[in-house]
Amino acid sequence: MLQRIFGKKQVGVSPAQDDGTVVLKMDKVRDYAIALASRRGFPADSHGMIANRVVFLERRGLPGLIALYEEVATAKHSFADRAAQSRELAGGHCPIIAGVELNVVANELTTAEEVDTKWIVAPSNPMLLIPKIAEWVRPTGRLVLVSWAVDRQVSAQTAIDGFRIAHAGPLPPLRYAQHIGFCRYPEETLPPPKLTSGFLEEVAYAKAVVEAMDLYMVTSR
Amino acid sequence: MTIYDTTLSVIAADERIARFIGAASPGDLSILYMLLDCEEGTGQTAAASPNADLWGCFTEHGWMTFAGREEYGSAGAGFASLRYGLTENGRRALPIVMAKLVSTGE
Repeated sequence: MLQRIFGKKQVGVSPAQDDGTVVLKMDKVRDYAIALASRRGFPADSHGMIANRVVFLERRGLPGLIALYEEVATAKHSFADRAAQSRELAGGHCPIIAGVELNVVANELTTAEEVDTKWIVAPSNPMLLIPKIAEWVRPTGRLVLVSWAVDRQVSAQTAIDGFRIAHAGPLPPLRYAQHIGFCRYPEETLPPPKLTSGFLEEVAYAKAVVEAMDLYMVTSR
Repeated sequence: MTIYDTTLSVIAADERIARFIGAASPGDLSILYMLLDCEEGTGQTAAASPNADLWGCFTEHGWMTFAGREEYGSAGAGFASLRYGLTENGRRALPIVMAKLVSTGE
């Protein structure tokens, strides 16, 4: 089953399985991410980077493609207006742009001691920051502890090193957190987290979700 | 010392690391990235190759572990490949090594 997506780009997907899910291998996840980013109007030279982040998450069991789809499909403004908005909003801004803007404080965020955890206002769909955080610490060997707070309560935490993550707590805070705390993982006092790198080569999505992504990409801007 | 400082000390003390990385092909180095990006799995390299020297050196430093040798072809005219996996220390140290000594990114 091939679907024409956003002009010449085609994303072939497996037929729905008996349980109503569609299996996407990582190359198809990447294709969808690129198509979603393109449809939304992200600059062309950012599509590969965005797709890499989605695949990073999906291979580690986190719904990165859903996060990207929700980020682009629920946007109420054009991409240009959203990009400008990111510099004005106190929260809920674009997670891709937020990752770029946080580069200047990445060292400060990833070296803070736990008692001095650095807090930032969360962008929308903050899960999409996780691969960016991994990129920050990759050349340093650091292990970072990220806290996801909803209503000023830490609801979940994720340990992140250059290629691996360990998530503790429910997943919804990765979508709805309003504040994100950063500190270096206190390896001297906490047990080592069970970090895992990429382990999935395909993911199963509900057919309705895949159809919704297909529909988004073929509707007019 | 942080893992970063420790790793840099090892690189400084063992000149073979930089020399072997310089001799490894981009394809060989890309396998290291793939291993880091995967939870499980081993990498294969040809015995007596520059990359085998590199991975052997990494093994001495506790960053990789030897996982086996396979022989192909007839005795004397065959080919052997070596398999290595990453250790926990390697998963923390090798991104630093690659950032410091490999000229290109991912």
